[in-house]
Amino acid sequence: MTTEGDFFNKYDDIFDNAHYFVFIYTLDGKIMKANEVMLNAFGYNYDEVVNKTFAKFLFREEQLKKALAMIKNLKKTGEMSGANIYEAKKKDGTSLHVELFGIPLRQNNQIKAVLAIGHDITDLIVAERKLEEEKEKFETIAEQSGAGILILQDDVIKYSNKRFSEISGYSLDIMKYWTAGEMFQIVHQDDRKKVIEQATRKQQGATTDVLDQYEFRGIRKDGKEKWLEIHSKSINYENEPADLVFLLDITERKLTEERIKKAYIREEFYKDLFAHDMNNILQNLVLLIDLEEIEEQNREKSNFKTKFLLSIRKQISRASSLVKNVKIFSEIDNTDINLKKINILNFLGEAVNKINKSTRNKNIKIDIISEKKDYIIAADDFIQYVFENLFYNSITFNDNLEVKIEIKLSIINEKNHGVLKLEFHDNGRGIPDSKKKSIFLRGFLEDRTVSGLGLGLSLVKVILDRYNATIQVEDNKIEGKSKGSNFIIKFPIEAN
Amino acid sequence: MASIFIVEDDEDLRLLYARALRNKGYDVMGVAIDGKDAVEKYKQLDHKPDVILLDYRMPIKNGYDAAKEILEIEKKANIILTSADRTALGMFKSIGITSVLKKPFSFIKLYESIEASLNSKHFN
Repeated sequence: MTTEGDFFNKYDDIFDNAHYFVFIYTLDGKIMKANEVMLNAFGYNYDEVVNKTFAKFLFREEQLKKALAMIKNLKKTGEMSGANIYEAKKKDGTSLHVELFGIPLRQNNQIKAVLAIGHDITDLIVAERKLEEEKEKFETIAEQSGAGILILQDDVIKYSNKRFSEISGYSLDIMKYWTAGEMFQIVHQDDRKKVIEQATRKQQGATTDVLDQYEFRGIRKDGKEKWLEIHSKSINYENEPADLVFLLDITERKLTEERIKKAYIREEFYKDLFAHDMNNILQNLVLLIDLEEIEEQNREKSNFKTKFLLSIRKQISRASSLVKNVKIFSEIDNTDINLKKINILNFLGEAVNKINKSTRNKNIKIDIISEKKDYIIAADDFIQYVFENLFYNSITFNDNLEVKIEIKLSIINEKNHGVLKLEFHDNGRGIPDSKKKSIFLRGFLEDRTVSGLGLGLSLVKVILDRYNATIQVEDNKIEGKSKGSNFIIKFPIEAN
Repeated sequence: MASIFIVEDDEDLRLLYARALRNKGYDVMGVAIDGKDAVEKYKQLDHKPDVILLDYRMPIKNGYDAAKEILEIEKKANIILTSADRTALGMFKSIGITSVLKKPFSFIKLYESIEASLNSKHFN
């Protein structure tokens, strides 16, 4: 016959040697035995525990309910569920988180008590709670952030915030299902290699050849280009290296930088105009007057006066043309592009009439060779200055007794698009190869090597840019020999 | 009479300088239309000019870069800078060019400047 004491005492070996909490409780919740490890952890002595119900050691009512439900289930099924976690109460009133496993103890096939084995998991629970709080804090900050935030691991987005979705144009739901590398579709093709290289190194946790910050172009879902600034670093995410990325939309900043740069170049250009062009005109006038005084005594006064006055008039015309072109430059800067369909032949005809009237004392022959009556392009009224400046250029830089200008219009096919090709041939001095490209660029480059080049052809270029038209200059060939220039302008064609 | 080499991108000015200097009896031994042209022509000259009249703001190559290259070829080259750009003066001074004619200048100033430059050359 086994007494109750014998029944419980047969587990003494376990009680004495275990490094875990070990105790036995009956099905009415009374603790019958407890080992030293448990007593020490709770801060009680043996008598304060034994023969007491475990209700005394549990925090809050819901913990007790949980324990009672477990016993009820044991009575009903004869089985214990797996591990259970309880928040227990120590003698000093502080809490202790324990993980318990129960083994039913049977006598005569009847469950008489439960042998409970457990351990203190307070540190783990506190750490988990802290982690949860940190995660919540991160997500709150991330969702409020003006920066797009994402965590990239194995080229897959593990986390992204709402702002990232706004920047990319893709919904968070879609991005969640992107496969490895698919996210790089939001990077502009020209910058993709660099971005992938950096992302790969960060995801590998590399510390060399990594850039904490750089700029690249992104492509939104709607195809629009955005300038983005990336700040990123390697982190540990779910025990593996990952890339934590902050993305700032800097498109506005970039546009402003562009505008400031353009304004700086334009300021330098105006300074150059006054320091160079205007002063050269004044220098010409000063020297002409000086020369008139010096040579007056030695020449036929009337003849010299005529030549002198012509030279003065030329310088005044040069100054007037310069001022006019500066004014047009300024107007173009301040006029929105609003194109209409025009027949280019009408504007060309008007420009020819104007040039004939203003140069009556010169022998000028202008031929227009055209197969059609209408050549419709998208342009605005600024186009008249394109022709005026080309005529001015051909007439001014021409040493022939007869200035010859031939304008040929034709429709050609370029990259499967119809293009109006306008060739402007003259018999002037031509343009040296070294100046053929830069002659159109004054006022657009920081480079001062374009200083002193005429302003008219740069104005022509800026007007043509409005129409997506191009211009280039070649040597004009007459009977196989280079003589003069051939300006070739190509306009996109508009349907009639 | 002293020989002069004119470097100026403004064609009208080139003609006026040449005419006025010839009137005064100088030998205008050559003209260049920009800095690049100036260096190339200067290299070809068997007899180097007594004075180089050099503009600063010119296309292709400016007067400062041309002056540096000319001084590398002939360190005693006598250069007079013609410019309206005050910011250029310091740059030219740093390579030893102190003769400056600030545009717009008169013929009297031009002659005086050439003569002063020639005297300083003889003195040196």
